[in-house]
Amino acid sequence: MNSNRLPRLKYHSPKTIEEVLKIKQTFADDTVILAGGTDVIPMLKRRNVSCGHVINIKRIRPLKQISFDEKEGLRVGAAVTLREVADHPVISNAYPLMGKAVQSVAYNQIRNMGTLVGNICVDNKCTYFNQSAFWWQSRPDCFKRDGDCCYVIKGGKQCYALSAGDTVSALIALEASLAIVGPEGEQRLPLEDFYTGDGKKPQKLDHNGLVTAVLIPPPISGWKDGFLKKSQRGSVDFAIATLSIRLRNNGTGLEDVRIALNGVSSKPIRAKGAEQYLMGKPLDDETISEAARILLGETTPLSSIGTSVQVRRRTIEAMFTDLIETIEG
Amino acid sequence: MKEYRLIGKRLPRIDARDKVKGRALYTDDISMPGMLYGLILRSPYAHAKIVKIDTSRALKLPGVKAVVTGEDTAKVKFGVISRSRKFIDEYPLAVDKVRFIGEEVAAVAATDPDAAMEALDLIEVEYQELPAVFDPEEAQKPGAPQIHEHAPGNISREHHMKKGDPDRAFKECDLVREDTFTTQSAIHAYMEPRAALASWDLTDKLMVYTSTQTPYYVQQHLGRTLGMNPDNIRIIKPFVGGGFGGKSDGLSAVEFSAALLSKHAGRPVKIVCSRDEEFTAARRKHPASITMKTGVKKDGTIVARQSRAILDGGAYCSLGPLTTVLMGTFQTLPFRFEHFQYDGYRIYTNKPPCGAMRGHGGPQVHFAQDAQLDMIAEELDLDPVEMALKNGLKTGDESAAGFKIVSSGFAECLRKVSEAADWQDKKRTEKNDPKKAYGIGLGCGGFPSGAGFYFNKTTSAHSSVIIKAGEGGGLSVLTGASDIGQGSDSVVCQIVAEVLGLPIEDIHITSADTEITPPDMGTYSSRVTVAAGNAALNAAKAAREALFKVVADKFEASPDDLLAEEQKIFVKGSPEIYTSFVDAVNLYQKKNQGSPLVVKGSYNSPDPLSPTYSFGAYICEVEVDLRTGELTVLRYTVGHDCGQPLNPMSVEGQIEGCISMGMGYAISEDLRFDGGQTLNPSFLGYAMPTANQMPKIEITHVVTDDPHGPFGAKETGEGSLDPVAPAIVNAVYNATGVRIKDLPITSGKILQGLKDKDR
Repeated sequence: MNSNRLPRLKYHSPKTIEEVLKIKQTFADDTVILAGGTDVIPMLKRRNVSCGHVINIKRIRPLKQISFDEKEGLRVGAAVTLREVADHPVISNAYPLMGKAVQSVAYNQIRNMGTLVGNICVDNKCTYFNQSAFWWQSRPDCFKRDGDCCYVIKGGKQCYALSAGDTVSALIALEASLAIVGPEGEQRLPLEDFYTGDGKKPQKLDHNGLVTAVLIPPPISGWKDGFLKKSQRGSVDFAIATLSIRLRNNGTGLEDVRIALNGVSSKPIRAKGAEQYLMGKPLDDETISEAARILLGETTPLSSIGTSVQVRRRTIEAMFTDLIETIEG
Repeated sequence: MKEYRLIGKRLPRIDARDKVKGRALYTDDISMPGMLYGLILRSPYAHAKIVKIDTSRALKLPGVKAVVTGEDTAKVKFGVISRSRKFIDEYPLAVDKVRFIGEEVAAVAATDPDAAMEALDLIEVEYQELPAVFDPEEAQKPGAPQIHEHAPGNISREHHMKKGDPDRAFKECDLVREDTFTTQSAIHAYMEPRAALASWDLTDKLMVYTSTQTPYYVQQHLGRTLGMNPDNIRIIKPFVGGGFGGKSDGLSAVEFSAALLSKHAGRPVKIVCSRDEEFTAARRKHPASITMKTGVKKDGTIVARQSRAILDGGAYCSLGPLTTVLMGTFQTLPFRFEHFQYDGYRIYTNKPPCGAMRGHGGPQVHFAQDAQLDMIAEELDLDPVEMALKNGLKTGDESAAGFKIVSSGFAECLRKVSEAADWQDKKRTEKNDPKKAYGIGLGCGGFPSGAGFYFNKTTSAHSSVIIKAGEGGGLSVLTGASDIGQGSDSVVCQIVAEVLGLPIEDIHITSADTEITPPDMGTYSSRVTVAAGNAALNAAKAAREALFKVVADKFEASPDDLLAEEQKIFVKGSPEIYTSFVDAVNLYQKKNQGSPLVVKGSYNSPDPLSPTYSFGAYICEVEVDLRTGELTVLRYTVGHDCGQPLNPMSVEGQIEGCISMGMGYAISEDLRFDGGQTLNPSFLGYAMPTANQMPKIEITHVVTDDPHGPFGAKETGEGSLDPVAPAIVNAVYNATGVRIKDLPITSGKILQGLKDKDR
């Protein structure tokens, strides 16, 4: 409470991506990107992140755009807000899964400000780490604060902060990738390869790189999909779990299926084991419950304040069953 | 029931428009020329000696105008229950020692908030950490760290009550149950954080705007701690965004620090707490462990009750010594039994101090009582509603703690809700869906309409109201009763307007400015409607009497034959013989050498415990996901007896607010601790229900004619909270067979309970 104010910062507001890269090269890891600011500003105020340079990317025109091409698919720039995504006709027509996931983030005020790419790049959350500077005066620093302990898993050897972006499971199920621009130009990275699983540094992005857009392949007909977020109080809370499923059923069995989870451990989970098991099988009570069992085996849910491991496991299992039944319903 | 013109009508609040449009001024909305921004430095240690505080670096920071510590104070302790020295145990700024994380150590004032924040970081405090104790059981053991010198064994208060002979009575019972129930730490989470703006004039008089429930206590305690005559202090209560007991401590470091900083800086100083500070250091509800033993006859008649409560008090008394008593007395409502024993112990621990919170001990013991009676009813194969009907306090009864019941609509509440909720059918419904279970449960309540005793030494009445008539026929009503959002201003205006036959728009209220308004104990203990309402009624009657006298002379009639209605005073039966209200006021002035019509009315409770009691029966319906333990509250059916509801919309608002707060208490609101540190000091971590969680609510007003309440009105604000949580607990049992004895009801506990049951 003593220091819930912004630290002294140099504020940069470049108009081109090139300028961003230049600033990043100059100040390296002493920079932070400001798009919506709904997460970064509170983190700066609480000293959850410390840096001397803030780079606003909202003035860079290409980053403000949503574009769609039937061959290339969808491209959402890094400064596009969640509200703009939700309101875009292409999203509601061609990517309803994404629309649902976006609407599950926080609440209106946050969706009006926060960006989709911000939700993808959001730092892992921890009920211990994300406290004020005053709060941290009363206990030794954890791994994520460059200390040497973890409070989530007592005796843990690494940081177990939770991967929190509510839209991520849907984007992984949609096989999204990221456009990352660095000194060597633009590079594309499948979204599911973006996450490290280390709560302390959860994303593969070096300080020279800038995520400029998220790219989603064009929709193919015949797929059905669904999204669920479970939390204590609906969208306002961080999830107990978010789950996305896409599938194609030819009547006798599944031709294709994608299952992704987030909010349950230090990185998003693509449930390849459960997917493989379901391939070619009909969806009946038996296969669904076996798939749920395999899914849980691929997941190592963490606890967080208010949610035990057991509750998280049982919730994932129930969500999976309910969501499959809703999609098939 | 008598029909009134305004009483009992669904009227909008007099301040509704201002509040909705953002025009109402709260403390943080008020600024003064030259005003500084103050902030408080808090202890990061749960228990430590203060070795040294160096403020020199902070004072050198540009913009900083004052820094104060305990050394700059008169080192006088305060405590809201100031009748007993033992309960005066807290310095407004720490002296020598800190006893909880968040305790106030120093304060700064600067020309802008940012400089003040920076200055806090520049104050260097050297602490010497002391062994700390966080668990009330541990704290009582020999060798435990001693938190206060005056309290060996860390016992802050013990209270013992006995009526009849429970030990003998238990032997004659057909069933005796003993269970231990535990409850968590919860917090008021009022919408407006505490805030104060203080300024001194050049004659050394102090003025403080503050977000408080009790302006007269603040005046007294500020006088005491600043070493000055309280009459030289003016406390103004602007609009207040809720309190729920969290702003009723008579003083907080916020008011004190603003006043002291302002004195040092020679400029006005405003301090507004952050939400972090509120969750970390503000008063909260007592976690309690309650062992309750109840003995009954086969037919369900309650014979005897013995109970023992351990309250985790935190580092200072606050209102906790009273909570310790009330957790005994409140469990004698709303049921009758002859034999009773209670032993309550409030224990100091190195955690933030616990004080009063809506229901004040009631929610804890009513959870225990209603859950235990539900278990007893099941063991005896009785219907809980029938059992409640059998044992409920009736008009003329006296509870085991001596509460004299002058009006009780409890039985009618039970009958109404049981019918409206289709209790009999739903209670017996078979449950065989493997995914979802549905259940229904009962909670019962009764609550005093205001305490009849003082916390401090005083000769003034509990409530007083002054009415001053204007030449245009409007009335200024001055009351010390503090509207903190509950709507007392509107109710007082309604009462005065009703008595004098005026439209409510002609009543102009000033509430709670110690320089102008007459003393009032404040807003707590569900006392305002009955106490200030009666004072307003008495004052309005005095105004009517004065006017009737001059009008009677004019018409050569008896004052007894006059009526005041529709802005006129006229002779009963001859409406053509009248004088307008405006003319009557001016006639009064002419007859009295121009002296204005100023009258006053006061009220003291006729009973030292309380003048009267409200009653209620709440039926809750829930859905439980048996796979995940997820609990959803579907519906509340409420019967509440608050006598004559003065404004049914306000009563319903209180009931709905209580359901929201009670649901939070039952399910999701839990201040978690690791040692002395609050683990979830934010609205994200402390999960209050949102509008999305609110169930359907159906309310029946059970109207009784109370002899003491103004127009027969009783309380609603706190009694409505007590039954909410136990109704959920009992509904969860009905749905799942899982008996929760430890609040809150988390998904984890339900899952564990289901697992244990299957074994």
